[in-house]
Amino acid sequence: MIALGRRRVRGDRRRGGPVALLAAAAVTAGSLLAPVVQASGTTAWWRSGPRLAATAIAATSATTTLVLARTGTYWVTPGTGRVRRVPLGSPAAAIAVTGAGAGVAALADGEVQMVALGGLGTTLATLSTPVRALAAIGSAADPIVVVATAGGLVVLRPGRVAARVEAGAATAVVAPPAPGLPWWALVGGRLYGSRTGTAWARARHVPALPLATRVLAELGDGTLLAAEPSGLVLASAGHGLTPDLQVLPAGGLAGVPGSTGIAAVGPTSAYLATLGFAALLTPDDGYDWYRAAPSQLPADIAAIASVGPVFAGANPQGEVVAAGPRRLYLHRLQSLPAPPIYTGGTAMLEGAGTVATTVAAILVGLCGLAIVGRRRGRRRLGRPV
Amino acid sequence: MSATGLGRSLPAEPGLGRIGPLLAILAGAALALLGPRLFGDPLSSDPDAWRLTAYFGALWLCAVAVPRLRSSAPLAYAFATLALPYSVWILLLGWTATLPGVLGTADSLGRTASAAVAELVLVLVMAAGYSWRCPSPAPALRLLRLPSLRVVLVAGLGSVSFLAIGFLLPATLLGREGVPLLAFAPPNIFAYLVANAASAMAQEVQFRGVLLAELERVHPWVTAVVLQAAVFGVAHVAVQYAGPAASFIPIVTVLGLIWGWLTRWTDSLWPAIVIHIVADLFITIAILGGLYGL
Repeated sequence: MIALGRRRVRGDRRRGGPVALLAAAAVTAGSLLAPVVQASGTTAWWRSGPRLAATAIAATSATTTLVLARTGTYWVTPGTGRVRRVPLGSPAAAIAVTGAGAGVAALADGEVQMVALGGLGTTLATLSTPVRALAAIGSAADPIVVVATAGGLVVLRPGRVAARVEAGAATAVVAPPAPGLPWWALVGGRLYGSRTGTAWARARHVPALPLATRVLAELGDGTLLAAEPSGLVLASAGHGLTPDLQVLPAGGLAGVPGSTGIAAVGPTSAYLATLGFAALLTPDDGYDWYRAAPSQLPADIAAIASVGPVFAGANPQGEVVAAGPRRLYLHRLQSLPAPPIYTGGTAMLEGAGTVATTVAAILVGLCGLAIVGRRRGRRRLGRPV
Repeated sequence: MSATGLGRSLPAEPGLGRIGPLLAILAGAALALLGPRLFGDPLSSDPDAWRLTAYFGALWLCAVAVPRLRSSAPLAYAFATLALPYSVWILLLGWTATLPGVLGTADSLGRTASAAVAELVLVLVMAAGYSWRCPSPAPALRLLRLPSLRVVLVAGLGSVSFLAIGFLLPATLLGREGVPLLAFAPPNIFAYLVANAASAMAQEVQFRGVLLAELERVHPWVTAVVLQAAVFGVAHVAVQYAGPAASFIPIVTVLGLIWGWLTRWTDSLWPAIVIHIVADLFITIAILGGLYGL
């Protein structure tokens, strides 16, 4: 009985060795995957905002902005999620915000109208050519509004006659994001700049861009970003505009995703919205580009803008608002956490634990090899008689 | 070192016994790599590569010294060939950061390229040691042999096929949204070329050279190719396991399978080296930034 019992135990050990090794392999695989699973559950970058199928969002340093949607034009406060409809007479073609609760809307029939949180304001002008984009700065009482139309660049001010400052098919215009920076506009594929918004001049050393280029943005440090329909993004690094990012084809027979907007969110950072690749982010004037948490955003982003004092100081505040097919998505800007500080005792204990673990691992490896080697040795010798 | 040098592998055996030493070594490596994660601060600087180097080095020395373990010495040496050069690469990256103008470059890209070249030299020296001490070195390890026309054709067609497949696959699967042209403009692109070429060649000599050759001494070649591809994939988890790079581990494993098979089929490392360089450049330029995010 004793001998039989012994044999049974030894037999179990033989089967137990490989099982233990397989279990060790399974634990290894699980341990390797655990950090990946843990990393996937990190805090959401983007959170869902109001249900609006937006096509344009006005960038502003105020906390409330205008959003152009398929169902109308709305005042949206990203911080609270509040949405108020603007009672415009006809659909809007372009929008801009000049300050807190004050904006401008260019209607499809050519009327350019001031709008406020409380209702409609005065009509600035009625233009005869289709409006492509507009930008505005200044107070609600005396704003400077620059309109990019199919016939040229038009400057509007309350109580004054509309002035066409440049002729040609204007496709984009941006107001300075911070005091001292210039206005920029694209007219007939050429870049024009202005210090005042009223007197414009063509920028030197800048190649002609495709006529269909409509995406233009200015960062807080004055860097200019432009996105061509071909997927080429240009940046004003050094002289003129130089190639910065080439968006690649989506794969298979799909072409290059179109760029729909750029939101500047600080001195050197900007988000690029695309129809296919969600949003891309550059933290350093376009030198590097990263995906901005694509799993949390729809692939198609129709518009993007920054809302709030994103250029104020080293710690930007405010929200980045991205327009998905059905709703807005919000990302709250915040400063980075401070790096941890380690005390000498903690570091020493951690180091000692690390060394002890390594020594234990060496012993585990050697024991494993010894067990395997003994089993292999028995096989070569054959079963004892 | 014993008279048998690195040691000699046992002839092939049926059953799990052949894979036992590999599993035993990997189990200890997992403990060395992941054990400190249980009590260490995840934000602190973790010398994981040096832990693995110490582990594999100690294992190899003990295996050479103890007769009972001598048969596992070549396998331990093959793993040390993976860990030590990588640790030296990390060390050089940090060390050269304090020496402005080292090897004519003061920027981080130049340092990366210099460290990668140093890593490659160490890998080649260790691979030469393996070939010298082992009785039947794999033909693929003879890097100085003139590549045949078939090898050249396989390298060229393989590289083109890799790029074609990369562009045909959905971009979101790979994370290849765009090429940051400013970051890869000259002279940066030359540093990227040197760093990627040296790193790719080093990895091919490590995995498809030394490790595959050692595994083939014990296992059938199909098993050996699969095992080295699995280790290749796990190694990418091991060095980057805290980040989103883990999402391309399956792709890396498949690439390891393809390159292992190519090496076995052509009896040359050169096709795998060339395709790996092309792949690394493609990944570095068009994919890695997107995968990492911020």
